Amino acid sequence: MFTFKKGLIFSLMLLLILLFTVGCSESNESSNNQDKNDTEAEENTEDGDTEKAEAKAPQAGGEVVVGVAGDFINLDPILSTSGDDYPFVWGIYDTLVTYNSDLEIQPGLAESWEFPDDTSIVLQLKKGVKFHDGTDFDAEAVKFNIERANSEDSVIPDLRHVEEVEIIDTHTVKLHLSVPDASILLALTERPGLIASPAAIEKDGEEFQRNPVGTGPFKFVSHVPNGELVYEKNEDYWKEEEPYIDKLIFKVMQQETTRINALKSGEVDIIAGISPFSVDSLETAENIKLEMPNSSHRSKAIVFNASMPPFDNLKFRQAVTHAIDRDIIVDTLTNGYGEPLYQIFPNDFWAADPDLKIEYDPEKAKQLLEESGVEDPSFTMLISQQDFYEPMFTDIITEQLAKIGITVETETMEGTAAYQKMWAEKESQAMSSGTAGKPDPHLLMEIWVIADSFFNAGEQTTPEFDELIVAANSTNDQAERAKLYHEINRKQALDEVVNIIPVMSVPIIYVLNDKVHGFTANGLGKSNFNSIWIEE
Amino acid sequence: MSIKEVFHRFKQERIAFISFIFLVMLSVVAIFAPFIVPYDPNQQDLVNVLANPSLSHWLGTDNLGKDIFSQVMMGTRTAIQASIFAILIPLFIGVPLGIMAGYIGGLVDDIFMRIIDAIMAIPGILLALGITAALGISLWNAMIAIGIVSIPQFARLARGQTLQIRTEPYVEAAKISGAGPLWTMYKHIIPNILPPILVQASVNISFAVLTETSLSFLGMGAQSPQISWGSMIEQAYSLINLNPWLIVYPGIATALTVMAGNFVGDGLRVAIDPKLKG
Amino acid sequence: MFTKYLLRRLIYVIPTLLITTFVVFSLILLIPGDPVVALLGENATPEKIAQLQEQMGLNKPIIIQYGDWLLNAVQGDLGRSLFTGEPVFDAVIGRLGVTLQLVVISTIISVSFGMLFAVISVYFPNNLLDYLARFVSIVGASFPNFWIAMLLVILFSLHLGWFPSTGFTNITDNPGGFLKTVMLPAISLGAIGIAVITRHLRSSLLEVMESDYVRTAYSKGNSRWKAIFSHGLRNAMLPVVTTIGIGFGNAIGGTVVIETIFAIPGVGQLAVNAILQRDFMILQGVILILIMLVIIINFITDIIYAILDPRIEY
Repeated sequence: MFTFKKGLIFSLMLLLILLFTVGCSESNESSNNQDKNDTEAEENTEDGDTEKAEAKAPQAGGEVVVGVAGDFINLDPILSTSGDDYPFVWGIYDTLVTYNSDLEIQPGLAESWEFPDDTSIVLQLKKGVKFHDGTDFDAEAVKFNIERANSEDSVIPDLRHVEEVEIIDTHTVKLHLSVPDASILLALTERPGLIASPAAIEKDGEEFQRNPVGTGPFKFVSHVPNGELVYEKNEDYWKEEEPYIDKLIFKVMQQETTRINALKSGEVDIIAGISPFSVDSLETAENIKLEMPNSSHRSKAIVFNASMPPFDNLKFRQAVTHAIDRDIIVDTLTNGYGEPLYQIFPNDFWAADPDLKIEYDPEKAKQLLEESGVEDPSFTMLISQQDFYEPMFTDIITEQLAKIGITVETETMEGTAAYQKMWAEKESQAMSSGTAGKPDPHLLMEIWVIADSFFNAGEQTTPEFDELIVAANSTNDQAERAKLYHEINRKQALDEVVNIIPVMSVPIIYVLNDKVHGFTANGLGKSNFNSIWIEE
Repeated sequence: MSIKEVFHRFKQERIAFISFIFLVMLSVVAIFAPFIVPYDPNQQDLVNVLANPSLSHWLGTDNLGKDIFSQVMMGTRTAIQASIFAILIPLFIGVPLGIMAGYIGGLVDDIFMRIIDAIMAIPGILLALGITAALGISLWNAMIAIGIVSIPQFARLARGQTLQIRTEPYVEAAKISGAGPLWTMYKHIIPNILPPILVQASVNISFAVLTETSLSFLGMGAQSPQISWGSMIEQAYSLINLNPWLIVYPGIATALTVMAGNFVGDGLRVAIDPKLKG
Repeated sequence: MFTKYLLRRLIYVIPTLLITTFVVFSLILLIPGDPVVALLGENATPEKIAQLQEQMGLNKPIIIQYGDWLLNAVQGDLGRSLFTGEPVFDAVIGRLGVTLQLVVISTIISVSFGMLFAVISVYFPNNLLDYLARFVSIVGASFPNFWIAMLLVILFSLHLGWFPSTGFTNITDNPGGFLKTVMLPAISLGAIGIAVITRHLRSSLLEVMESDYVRTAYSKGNSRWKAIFSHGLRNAMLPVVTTIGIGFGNAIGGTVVIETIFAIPGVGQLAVNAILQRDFMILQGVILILIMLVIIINFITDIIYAILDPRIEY
């Protein structure tokens, strides 16, 4: 045994002094930087403007390290189930068509396309493109990939209306559809349009996912699960100049603070998945800039099972949606970077109805609740652990619903378990969840809204609503589609409150080292790193 | 040796005794925390975010304007609860199993020891993580997991002590005079193995508090609105660039509790066996 | 004698491994949430789930699944990750190298600083240095390791910029980079070891210093330093060897949290992810190899013990 007494007192004092030094020096620094911050923030915006205006000439060479929150699920296009996989797959594969940051369609591996009639699409393919394994990209490869996407092994549902892929010549294909489907072309901008090397798939079989081969700007080098993913430049890429960098590395850093620290100390060049709270502290750091899309397609929402009480009661659902004060939630949780949502699309998207607004009206909510006849109104809401805004989001919702007399019990579960309980087993009343964006509104309808979609747990719909959704997808005229979607949104979120109560848009924030250029954040959260270059 | 004697000697171990008083005080705080906190620890005050320590907020506020001092006090509750679980579960499951194995001996004892060895070979935190995940993520389940992970330690100790005492003349005598095994265990073995178990129990407070903070830090323990020092540290870590002090308070609260547990253990050890005093 | 001891040890290992792997297997199958659901994503209809479960053999009773696994494991095939399809053995061994480097450095830190503090404390009783040493021995074991890690990151990485805050470089790739990346995590892991070793060694050293032979050495005119080093330390180390062995095992457990903070792709992180994703193939492999490691360490501890203390018999 020790004889402590003096020793202990001394020790504790020493500890306090030590902590004091750490604490003080840090807070001093941040307050010093606070002053710098304002001027620097201004400079930053100026920088941003000039950069866009002048567009410095890209420089070749160097490597970029991206700090990401999690690893991908799968690099094989037909096995990937997560929207978060896109930033990883964009490097390896090209898509048939692609979209710009405003989600407008652009040529990809298909140079042009036309619609001879309602149920067919003709794609003119780019010539002279080679896969990383040296084989040629041609009509055969497209047929192979689309058929593979529609096969039993595939998890891709979006191309089920493609009945046949007809090869017209070596670089022309014609897709025959079973019904008119306006979403197909935009679907080809994403997973269904990723073109993998048929030769490599035939050769590697199941191993293909661990050694993916496409036509993209980067070649796969190595992967340590939940560790790092390394890509190298594809020297023969069909875009003359791109990629500029020699090496692209993704490092998995699960904790946000770990990512931020790594960026600050220069270990990584770009970090993804940054919460709005951290932005203030990051702005004080030097040589760092933010990158955000114009509008975010990711949302926080309450999803529910409309076949279970009390959500089987329309008045009850309407009471809930009117009882939510979205403005307060956005202010509290997004630090000014988010927006209140009244429909499942971001407010400035073409399919969104700019006039649709759900007023926060507790009196009306109370009245609706009374009319609903639900006694002792209460429900249990699942919270998925891997969510940025939890548990604050649910706390606020719980508080707001309590004001009109609805009791919310919460149950926290790990991500997959919550997912399974809510949607696969359909055994939960509600869940605090979110929607991830899709390039075409119908693709979102397919998985979230139509009666037999996976995320419509209660399979809630009305015949009229069904008809609207079909009609909106049967024409290629965007103005007409927009009108129909406005109607759909109004029914979905207000008149019938089908299965989702949208609450707020989730800001998508990237933070970059100043020397990194050519990166544009994508509003669907599916950014690519293909045009990045480094300023020496 | 009577309990009175032990207590008398324990009182003379100054640091240990102070630590004991400290733990008692913590328990009192834990019991009455909801009534004596200056603020509701989950009450947001968005006007007053990241406030510095002041008379109204002794330790300042976090990014949602919640009072840190109140949170630390509520965290005490979680820590003490975890400690109680980590003592009671092994006490009522591990110790009887250990006594039985030691008393019966032979093959039963062999098998028992293999199982204990096997479980002890898995790193404690990993096992606790696995059990928590299996039971479902919640603070209660995390505490139960910590209790289960502590079972082998206690069982092993109880078995060792029983093996020693089993062959003592007075136990043999009791057996010969026809006392049943349950009676022997109750009358002779339990009183004799109690002191070392007591030492283990107080040291286990440290283990419980550290493991609970780790689990909560990893998001497998306390879930909002529950408050744990571990989840406070986790939250504070994301705010280190704004206010590094937030990380300090729950850390010190944890450390003081862990220290107290260790000191009480040391003091008890000496009080029970004065030869140990070095 | 020694071979007999070794043999007995090895025979004891077998039931230990059987029991732990079975415990892990049943535990992980109890965890709610099906790995199949994560694999299927938005296509996780009941039919698809059932189909994939059957395909992966996950619908059989636990005992049969365990039997299948065991049969393959005995033949050296630990299966494949349910998620990445990576062979389990490769995944674990690849990570183990990283974790071992980390843990070895942390053990070296604990032992050397532990010895340093203990010797200083004994040499300068009731001096400022003595208090400092005791301070470390109390405080180091009281703070959560992740808390220490955070303070180190704030101070040495963000503030002073001496060490990186994340990542890991293999010693074989770049020894300098290795030392830089390993330092902060190793100290966070080793802090508790420093405390425990200082404490044990100090009390054991004090005891030895009181013993007759050290007193004799003194009386022969040896200096206090010499008495400590030539007589005291060797004898005092003996009880500490076990402590070091236990510390090594604890450090492996500690990597679970530390590797997450520093984003180090080691076994600890692999295990946490496996639990969260219910990749029981991976978890099973991790546990199996960790237990073997613990057994090997215990074994080495015994050998060192024997070397230090010739009196010991088996």
